[in-house]
Amino acid sequence: MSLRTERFVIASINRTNDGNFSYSKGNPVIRFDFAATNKLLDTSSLRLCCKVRMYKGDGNAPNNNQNATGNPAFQSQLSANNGTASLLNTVSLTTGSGASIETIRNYPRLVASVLQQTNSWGDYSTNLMYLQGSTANDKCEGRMCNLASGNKGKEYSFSVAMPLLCGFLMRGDNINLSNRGGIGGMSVSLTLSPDVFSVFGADAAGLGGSYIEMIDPVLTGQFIIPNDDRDLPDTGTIVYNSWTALYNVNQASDNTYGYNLGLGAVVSQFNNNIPVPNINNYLQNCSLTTQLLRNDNTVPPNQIWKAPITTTSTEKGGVFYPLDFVVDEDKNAPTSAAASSTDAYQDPVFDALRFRYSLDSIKPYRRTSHLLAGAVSENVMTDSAWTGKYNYNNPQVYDYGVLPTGRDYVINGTVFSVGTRYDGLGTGTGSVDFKNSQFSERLTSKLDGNSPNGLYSYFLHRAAVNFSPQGVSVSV
Amino acid sequence: MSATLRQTVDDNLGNNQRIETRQIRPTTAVGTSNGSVRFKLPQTGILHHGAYITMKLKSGAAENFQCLSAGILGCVRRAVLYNGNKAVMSVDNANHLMTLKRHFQTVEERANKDGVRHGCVDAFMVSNEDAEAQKGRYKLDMAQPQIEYNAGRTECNVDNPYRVKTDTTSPEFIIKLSQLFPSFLAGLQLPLSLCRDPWSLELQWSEDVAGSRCCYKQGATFAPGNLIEPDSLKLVVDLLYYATPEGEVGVMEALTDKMNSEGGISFEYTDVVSIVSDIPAVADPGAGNITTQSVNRLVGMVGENLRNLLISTPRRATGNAASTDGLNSGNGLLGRYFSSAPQGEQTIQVKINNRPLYPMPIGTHGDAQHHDQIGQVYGLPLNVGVHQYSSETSLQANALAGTQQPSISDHTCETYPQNKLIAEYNYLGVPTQLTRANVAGSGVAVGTAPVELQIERVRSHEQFGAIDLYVFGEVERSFTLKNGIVFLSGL
Repeated sequence: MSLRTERFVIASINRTNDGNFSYSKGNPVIRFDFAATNKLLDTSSLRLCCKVRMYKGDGNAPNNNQNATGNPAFQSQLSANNGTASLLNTVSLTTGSGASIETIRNYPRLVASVLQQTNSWGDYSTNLMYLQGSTANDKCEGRMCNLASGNKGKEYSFSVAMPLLCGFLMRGDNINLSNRGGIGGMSVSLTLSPDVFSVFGADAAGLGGSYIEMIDPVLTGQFIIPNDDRDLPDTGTIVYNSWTALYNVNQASDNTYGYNLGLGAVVSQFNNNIPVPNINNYLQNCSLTTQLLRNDNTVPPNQIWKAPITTTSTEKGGVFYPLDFVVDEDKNAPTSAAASSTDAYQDPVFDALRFRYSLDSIKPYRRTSHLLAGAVSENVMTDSAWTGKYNYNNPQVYDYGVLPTGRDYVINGTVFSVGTRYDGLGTGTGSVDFKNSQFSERLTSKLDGNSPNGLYSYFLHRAAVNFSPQGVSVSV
Repeated sequence: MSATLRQTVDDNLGNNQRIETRQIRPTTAVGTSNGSVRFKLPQTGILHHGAYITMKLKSGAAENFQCLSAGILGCVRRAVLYNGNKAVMSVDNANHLMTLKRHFQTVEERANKDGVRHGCVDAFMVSNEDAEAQKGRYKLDMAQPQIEYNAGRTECNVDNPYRVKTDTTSPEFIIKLSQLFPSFLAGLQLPLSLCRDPWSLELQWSEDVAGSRCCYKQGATFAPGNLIEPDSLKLVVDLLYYATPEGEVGVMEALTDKMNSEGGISFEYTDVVSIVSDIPAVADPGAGNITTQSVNRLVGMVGENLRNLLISTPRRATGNAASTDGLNSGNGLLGRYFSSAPQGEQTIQVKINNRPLYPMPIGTHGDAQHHDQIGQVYGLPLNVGVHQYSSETSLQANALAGTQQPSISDHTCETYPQNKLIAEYNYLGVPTQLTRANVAGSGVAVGTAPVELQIERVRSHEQFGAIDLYVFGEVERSFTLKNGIVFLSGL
């Protein structure tokens, strides 16, 4: 088969007058359409390219530079965890005829965990700055968001070329966009997050609230074009991976939650956490992947004390699955009689078994080569003298918000999730049918019943696009 | 020439593999100005792709140090691999190309392995140290053993045992042949014993001028006399041999049979076409102003199957022998081996067969597009951060920047402020291949019109001088070894 390539730049079909998109400015949806043409989309080349500009509520640029006392002149920034991916609340892909291929809600928190568990600190210091606008720590991210004031600032912004971390687009191969055995075109719809989710900082709520703009976003990449249309592959069915996102709240010390997923081929699942008061809060980084946290004893309380998970287990139809045992970390969080009123679990022993299975859920454990988590982030080294020292190989450091002196990074820098993989060998072919049985997960922890933690769950499953003379359909 | 090590390994398939390691001295004299050297490979066994050259660089003065990003790689200007008198593969400006390609490696590899191999120093870390004003700024990673900071962590120098020295205690570094000829040596283990003509390797050294082999500490002047130490110069090769089990066809015999068959031993590889041009200086637009410069350059590649272009744009060295500020090195810390970003927008368009490759010039949506394009050349991200790659977020007191602070620290290395490294790793790439598989025809066929490179670049009061333009094109070649004779296509 003779092929050639063609580069494309696709502007959004709902482009604004100035080309800029911002939740606060009333343009929260960006939609790109690929026509049904006799071309193959090279998914490995697809990027969302744009410039990004942060504003204070008065329309000027913030200044997150640290001065001699450690206080930025105006602190308002993105999260270093997921950078500009935090701007995209929902990513939705549909075929040209409108059949839904994949819809990922709570996309920023999916990206936060996926990046942490597939990239090292070196990646955050280098390529992720352009791929996701994500940096090595929050101070650096603050400087990324610094722009010159006034007209000069409007001429200059930082830029990103983001791959969209959708299962369908991460296949790395070519998608037939034609009506000849293809998906008949494709729409990519991006719904922006509220600024109060993606932007945070001590001053972010001031002056009416900081906001962020995506400037002239476009999709770029390349098509593969057969020299003869008859060479287009008539595949009949494309099997692909897809993410499904769900949300729950965990505040009990013994919590079981269940979902009727209706998914036929689940490969893996994981969930990450953040205190509910931190969500959509200008003062808090909403993209952190914290341990479970409970209230301290101040009035009003701050949800900053650790509440270590003691056991986890997952079930299918009421039976332990895929692990037929409880991941027991109870010995790692020794109980104190006065635990409810004191910060008794400052230094729990690292729960390595929980961590091992959560790693496996995002990328097969044996293939994990790049990882952000380290001894300091996961509290393996409990010497608080590390705080503020030269940040060699420390993961991202967060010290905004109200946190105990000297322990801030230990709480907020964690690479924390709970998960499991059904494709146990990591071959890419194993999966489990949840169409007729319920998924459930039990988490026991040191939570006190008064400290709600948002529980963002993500399920990676297989789906298929089927082509027939009657049209295109999607099955899960 | 001497055989130093023999080792026999049973491969569990009935074949005994014998590995012979040889250290080969140059066949040509190494003069005081060095010039070039030639190594003759033995006509025996199969060449393992891990062959490497060892060498020491004796510096002309204690204030001289190796170029941070290039290390010993800065010494090799040109490398040619010959079979008999036939140039099978040549790389011009190899020092620039190898330095560029190092940045596809991970930071960890560059910081650790390359420090030992080449004496390179260019891993950054983000600072979170006690001085608040430094938080969030990058600086040279103090965990690299190649450099040593003072107690206050405000000054660092290239340190022993990695620093080049004026005597024979200078460290010995290596350059792997697979860095010089990656595509060719990845194709097969070269059966030297089956070739009628001997193989040889020629290296031409770079000039001994400031920033070429060595840089110098700020405040000093450049001292020439930075020479390859002749006794240290060796080509180290592993030669593989296979014993033939009784009654079977062994590896060596199978190779001979294949070579003598109709198709011979053949594979695809890529050669590198190097074009050097420039972006000329413009009139100083004045403080706070900018001007946009358009440059069109024909970069050849006519009749070739072009797989990609890699581009670097180092600022041309100025100053003179009395300079103490590093201007005559190009960059005081990086020497000649860097790629300078503009303080504003830069767009690239490439015309192949008189047709634009991109529907819209790359760079109109920021430097991330350039970073993305070079990352798609090999499907590997360029592992440099925004602070190294671009002036975005890092500008200071220029036409577009206003009040931003640099994101690389002003702490010093060799008394140069480290923020001299801001936006000096702006390497560019243009992927043109259909697939990254090494198959014939995966590159784009360039017809009779040369490839045209169109660059539009913002020039400012701080950056209006001449810029060198190094363009490297990877073009397809076909290698065939038949009846002991090497045949090449595409030359």
